[in-house]
Amino acid sequence: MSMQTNVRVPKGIDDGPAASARIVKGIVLLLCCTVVIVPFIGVISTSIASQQHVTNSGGFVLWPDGLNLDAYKSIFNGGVVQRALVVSFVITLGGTLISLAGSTMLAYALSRPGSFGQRPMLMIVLFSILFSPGLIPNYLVVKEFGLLDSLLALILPTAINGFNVIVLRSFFMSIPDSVLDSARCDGAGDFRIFWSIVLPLSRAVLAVVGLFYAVGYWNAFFNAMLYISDTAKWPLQLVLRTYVINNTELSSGDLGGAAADQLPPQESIQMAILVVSLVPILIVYPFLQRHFSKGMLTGAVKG
Amino acid sequence: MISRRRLLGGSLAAAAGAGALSGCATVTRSTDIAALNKPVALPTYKRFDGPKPDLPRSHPLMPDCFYKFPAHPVKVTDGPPADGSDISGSVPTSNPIPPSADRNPYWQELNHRLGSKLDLTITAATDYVNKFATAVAGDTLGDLFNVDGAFAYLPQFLEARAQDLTEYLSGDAILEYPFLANLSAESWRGCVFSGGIRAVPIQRGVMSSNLLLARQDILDQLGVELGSPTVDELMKVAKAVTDGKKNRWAFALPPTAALSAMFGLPNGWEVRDGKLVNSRELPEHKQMIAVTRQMVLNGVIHPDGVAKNNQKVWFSQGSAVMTQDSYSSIQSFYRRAVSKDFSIGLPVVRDSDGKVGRFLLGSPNNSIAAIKPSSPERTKMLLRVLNWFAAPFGTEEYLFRKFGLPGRHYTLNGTDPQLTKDGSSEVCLGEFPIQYLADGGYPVYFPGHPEGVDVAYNHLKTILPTAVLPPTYGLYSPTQSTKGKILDTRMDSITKDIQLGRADLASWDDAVANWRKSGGDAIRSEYEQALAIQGRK
Repeated sequence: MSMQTNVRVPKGIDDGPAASARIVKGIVLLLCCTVVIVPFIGVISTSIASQQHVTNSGGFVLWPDGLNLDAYKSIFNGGVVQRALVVSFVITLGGTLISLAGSTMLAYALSRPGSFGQRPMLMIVLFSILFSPGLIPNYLVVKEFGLLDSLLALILPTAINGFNVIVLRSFFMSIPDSVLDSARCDGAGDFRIFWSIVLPLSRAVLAVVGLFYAVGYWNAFFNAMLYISDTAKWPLQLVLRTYVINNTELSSGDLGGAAADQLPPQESIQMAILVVSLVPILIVYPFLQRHFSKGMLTGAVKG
Repeated sequence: MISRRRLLGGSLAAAAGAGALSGCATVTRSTDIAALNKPVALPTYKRFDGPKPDLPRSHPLMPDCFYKFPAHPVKVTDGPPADGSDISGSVPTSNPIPPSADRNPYWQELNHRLGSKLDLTITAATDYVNKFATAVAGDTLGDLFNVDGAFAYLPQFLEARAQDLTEYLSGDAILEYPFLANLSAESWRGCVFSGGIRAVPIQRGVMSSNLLLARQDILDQLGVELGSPTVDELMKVAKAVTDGKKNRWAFALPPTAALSAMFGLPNGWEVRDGKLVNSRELPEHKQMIAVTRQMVLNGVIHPDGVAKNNQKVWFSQGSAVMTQDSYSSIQSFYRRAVSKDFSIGLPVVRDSDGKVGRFLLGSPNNSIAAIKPSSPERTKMLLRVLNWFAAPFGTEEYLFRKFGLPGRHYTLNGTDPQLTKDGSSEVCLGEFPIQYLADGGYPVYFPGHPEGVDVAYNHLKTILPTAVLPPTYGLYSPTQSTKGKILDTRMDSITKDIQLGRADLASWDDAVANWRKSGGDAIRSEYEQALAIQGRK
């Protein structure tokens, strides 16, 4: 004889939300994703759509009728966009290296109690987070240093970011003193400790801060607009702003003489520039994502 | 190297804007309306005896109309105008920024013809305001600079940072610069500040006035007759041509220029019974807003037409059958056209009585340009350069300035120059930004489109007898200069809210009352004083 008992297992915290709640959640997430993804699809579709389709769609194509790469061929024909892409890469790579070098050294010095001028320096860094000098003083400094029309004008004024220095400092402070002391016992000097012990232990936070800096340099246009007169030194984002946001007309000559007089539709070229400006960040991001939570949390929650 | 004192001094002066200038003993105080608006003898107008226009000038404001570029452009200057010293300058541009001089054969030839190296800082027009403010602070505007007309305390700024040109240009003195003398007195009136001529005009005349443009090819294709509409007729046509499923709307934006003419609104301000009245205060203005609101409700305005600024593209592509733009924009529409049948119509709008609606003229000047304070010799040299930049249509100098070198920058289609792809880039689509330092009068000339000239001429001929300039043109109100932009933005914002149905029409009355209290009445009072000082009231 068997006895059947209906044992009602109480719902535990690990069982997750009920099915209905999951469905609602799924729908909400799907809607959010759609809101984000649809414009992306539109941008890509417009960049590869034909003249006729762009015209019929009122300038914004949601799904292309075919693959038309004329806009990309135009912008990679040696004109202003291609040149700007090279400038942006140089600024982003050069700037990120300079920023990381400066910020890590400053943060390390600030993380070691007893460093020369540690407290006043820390105050200056914190002050720079709270108060910005403003447009015109920045311009005067750049001008007086003779940096107008120089790519360094796009790097040096933003090379050290107070927030990033604080994140790095917090991370460095979490490295046990015993590790550094033992290195010192082995005869390592400050720079050796910094280079051989601290930096290798800080890959996660370096990846995060490096990405912050890189994205900042990649997206910056305002300083270029103020400091750079020579269009050959324009970064991609300023080109993007001029031709996409300000709707300035592009001529075939600007695009390196693409396809003689007949250019692809202006909207396709604008959207192609937009896609080109997005791709590098989209490529880099997944490789650094695994460092993100660790880097951010470690640096952020320890004071 | 930068010194602390210099940095602080410059920063403070800049941070305070020209407010610091107004506090300076050498410039006029901002409360001294009489001194700020003191009149001066304007330069003598002497029409340059150039090529004869193809169509008769039916009205003093009628620009010269040409179907074709003259076959044999005459060289009208002798030798280079400059003295070999470097000349620097700051200019905006609405076109792609051209390659720098070392990579630009047009610019190199320009330097050769000028006889001096011209070093220009070129900025996109939309960013020029920011760049101008920093350049003022850093004193990097150069010898010649286009002036940001919205700069606060403009007269004081020009007193402090621009050469007073009165002794060089007032009265007959200007005849030494014949192409500058070819610019109208109305244009020069916009260059007078604090009793002195402190700039030269970038004259556009009536060409900068806004009007209703229609895609005649689409109207013909749909079999819709626009004619010379009243408000009701325009509404009917709008409904007839709108088809959302085909991505086609009647208007690219609310057609306020046409509606203002239909309702007989003043051009900003109007003198009534000796008092200034602003358009916003009139019931007709509210009616106009109500009509645009109805247009949005009817779905005849492009869905993004109120919020976004992409009208040129929509009109060129046919997403909008009508738009609002200037006469001078017509050439850019021909350039952008994607349909081979593209044709433009300019409807003459009528008021409720069936009479031609009162046409509201735009500013006679696109902008003004000034010269840095210099020695008399250098000032004269810079004026000769500006005079060269103003050589009128049909001259060899004009042909080079706008189209560059034959072969490399343009080829001839009949006698009409057509830009090559190098020309488009290096000559900046025929609008190299020296045109924002000085320019000749703007003709009605659309290379390759003589039919456009007829359309524009016929429209001008009909509307010019009704045309009005704002009575406040050429006057200075300190409150308008410092608060006007904020007040206008607020009023534009409430207008959009009403048009989009986010606010009731009744909220317009509160907005107007608030505008009056926040500065509108002060502006009125200052303009009235200025009008009285100039004896124009």
